[in-house]
Amino acid sequence: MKDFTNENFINILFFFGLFLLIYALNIFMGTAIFERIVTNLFIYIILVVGLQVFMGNSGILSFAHIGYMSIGAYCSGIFSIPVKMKSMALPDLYYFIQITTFDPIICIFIGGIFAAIVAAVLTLPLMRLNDAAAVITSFAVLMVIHSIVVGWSAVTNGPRTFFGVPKATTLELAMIFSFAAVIIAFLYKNSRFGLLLRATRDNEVAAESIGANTVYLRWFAVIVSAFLAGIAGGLWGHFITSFSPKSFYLRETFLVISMIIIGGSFTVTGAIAGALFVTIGYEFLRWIEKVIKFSDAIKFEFIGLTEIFLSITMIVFLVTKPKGLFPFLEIGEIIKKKFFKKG
Amino acid sequence: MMLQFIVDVLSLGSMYALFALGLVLVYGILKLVNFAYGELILVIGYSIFLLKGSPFPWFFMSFIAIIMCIFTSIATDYVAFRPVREKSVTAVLITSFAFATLLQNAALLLISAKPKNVPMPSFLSDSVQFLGVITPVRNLISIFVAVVCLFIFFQFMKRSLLGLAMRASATNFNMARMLGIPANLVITTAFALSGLLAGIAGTLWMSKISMVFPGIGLEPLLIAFIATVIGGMRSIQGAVLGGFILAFIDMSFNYLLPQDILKFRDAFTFSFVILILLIRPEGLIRGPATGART
Amino acid sequence: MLEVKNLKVNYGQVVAVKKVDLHVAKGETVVLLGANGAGKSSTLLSIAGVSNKGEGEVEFLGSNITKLSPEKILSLGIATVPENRDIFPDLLVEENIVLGGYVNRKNSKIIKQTRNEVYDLFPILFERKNQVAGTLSGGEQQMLAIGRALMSTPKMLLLDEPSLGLAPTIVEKIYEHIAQLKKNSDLTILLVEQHAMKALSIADRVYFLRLGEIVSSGNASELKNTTDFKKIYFGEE
Repeated sequence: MKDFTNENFINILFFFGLFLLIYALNIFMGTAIFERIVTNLFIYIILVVGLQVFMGNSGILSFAHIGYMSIGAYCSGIFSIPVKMKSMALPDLYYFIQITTFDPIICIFIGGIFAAIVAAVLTLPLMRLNDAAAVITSFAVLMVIHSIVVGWSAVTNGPRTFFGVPKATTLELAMIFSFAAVIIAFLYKNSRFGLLLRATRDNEVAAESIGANTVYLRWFAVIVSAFLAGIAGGLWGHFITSFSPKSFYLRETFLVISMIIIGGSFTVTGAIAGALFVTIGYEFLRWIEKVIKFSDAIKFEFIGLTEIFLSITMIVFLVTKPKGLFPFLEIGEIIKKKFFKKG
Repeated sequence: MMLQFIVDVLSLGSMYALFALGLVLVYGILKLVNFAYGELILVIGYSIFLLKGSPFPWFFMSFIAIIMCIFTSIATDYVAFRPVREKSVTAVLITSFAFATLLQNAALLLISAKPKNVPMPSFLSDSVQFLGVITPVRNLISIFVAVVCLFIFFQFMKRSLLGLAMRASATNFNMARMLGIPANLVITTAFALSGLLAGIAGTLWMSKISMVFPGIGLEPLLIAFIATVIGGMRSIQGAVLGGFILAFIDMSFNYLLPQDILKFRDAFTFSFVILILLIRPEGLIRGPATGART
Repeated sequence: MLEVKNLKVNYGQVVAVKKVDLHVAKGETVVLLGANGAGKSSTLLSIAGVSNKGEGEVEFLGSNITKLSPEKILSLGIATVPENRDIFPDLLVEENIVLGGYVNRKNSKIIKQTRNEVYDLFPILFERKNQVAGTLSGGEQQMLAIGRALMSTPKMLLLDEPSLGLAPTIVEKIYEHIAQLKKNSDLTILLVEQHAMKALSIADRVYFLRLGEIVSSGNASELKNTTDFKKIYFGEE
């Protein structure tokens, strides 16, 4: 018990180093494509680490995460589009939003907070459900958010592309936010809330007998988780600048779930490793798709290969390594075991 | 007007009921949700599409398509269910989700992202008029096919030994096995029947929209989900009832709601699903008394 | 006939059965006595192939059945009547009976014959055969569970606490039926009970199980007349 802070420190230090290394690698590579990939990676890390906060500690799979991301992205976008642009991009927008614009950084926070509020309101009664019912309701939450985003044309431009979001996300910004997300996840995991929630994950009845309130613990985790998803959505919105409801649907859900499954949902390290692993694999396969396409070797369009590989990898992982690459120990604990426990 | 509404609800509901029944069959036995269920419709659509140039009559093509559907359903068991069945509910949800993604992207990769036309006999779209109701032939055929299928299905579950074994397994799988009922036979039968029902419903679905694209499975999957949640996840009668209730809700929305609120239909239906799961998690019709996962 | 060696059963981290060795000869009625949580039901279910065996071996008629599935074990001739009876409450009494004969499904003569035998043994089931099984009383459900198990024409019957939750007069009746069953056939029975006196009245041999281990064994007739068994059973050493 006594070295929790200590372990947090090693973990956080490790990822600080890793992030700096990635940053240095980017400067070394110096290409725009690489910078785009790395920025995306950092955003995905926020997203997956956010999912880990809920899923890893509660043990419940959530399909709703990308829904919270979309709230963050749209919310942040709406408040940050310049006033002149708004009348063009969203002519039917309510007057009071129409005339206000904030700095994108503030808007990203607004997006995160708004996503957290929506999650808080929607999910409190759902937190007592377990197993299949819990997963299906989380899926239903995704559907509800998605269809509201599609339907609420005045604010979201409906199913059409939402455009005019100012470009504000740089690699540095994404990295800083990503690092903050990692710190939050570690602090949460080893906090009283995190410990109790993990106790309910392992044995709900026993945990409740020592005073854990499963519903509120899960609820709190969802709120933190949705906040991070909203932040990730805002960052992504200010990076890509135009998107549509389709950008936040089953494909993306599949992607984050594959990251957390491959990495291991029980550890923050696993979530980050999953994001890293899948991003590298994804970009590599994309590159292969392109090479094949341009080599004229095969005459038809080569899309979908990436997802096929990803789904096979996921099934293989669930069969052979169901708890992912980092099933129980965080990187800090692994390092400690290797280097310090010898004596 | 009233009669028109009833015919519309019945024809839509008969399709929904078959979809829901196929999903609940597997859930009933294994207490596990098959996320790849919607992809059976994809298989139906592309099978008929790929057979388009063949000299076979249409009925034979759809027959082969349904067979393909049954095979895919059984394959789902072997790929997504069997390897992880013992591990956790979540694992199966994810593997079946992954299998669904796999099939969709295979269609994307090997065929095309664009919708493809699925041939349908032209008489299906002819409209008929009776008692002041105007409706395409396919709607009446949907009702007829569903009634026949449901009748045969429930007779099978009631009269045949295998049907009884299925019902017993849905109540208490371990006990059924202790009576010598082979687990694998029951599970394979459940997946095969699930594929058959989805195949028939999928053919009816195709006759309505006449096209197929990689993402086609989502809507039927959602329909089956909602219908089973409404009717009761563990009850086969409940699934059928849920299908008709969902069709009634959908049609009422279509008839009553103005266009700009209709856009939020899905939000309403899914909120409804969440509500039902909260208030009455066992659905309108309670399933067999025990439902422990095995 | 049945030989259990060094059996260990655990559910996750919880050890239900530590070490059980027992054997049952052909035609014998052996009872496994023990208090709540001693591991009696786990032992039985493990023989039937439902609970995972942590360690150990189970042999039946000379062949190793340790790793076989429940359905395979039944087809070799071991039928189980589980603790909670586990009849199928939504199915008719007749349907429950029919399912019991699943392994004999290809031989309608045997099915018919055993069905008549079961209905002769439990006439009340015949009267209620078109009733939904869930509406039967506890005692009738117990009879149905036994009758259903007999439908597979087993060589050996595993009976788990047939007295559980039943009124004394009903327990009396059930045991009369079991005694009659023993008399009519050469069925081998492994019985698990808490109700020691009742079980001893029909048993040939006894094993005592405590905290997942066999602590002693002996002949039923001898034990009945000593007061030792009370000591062992209640742990008043």
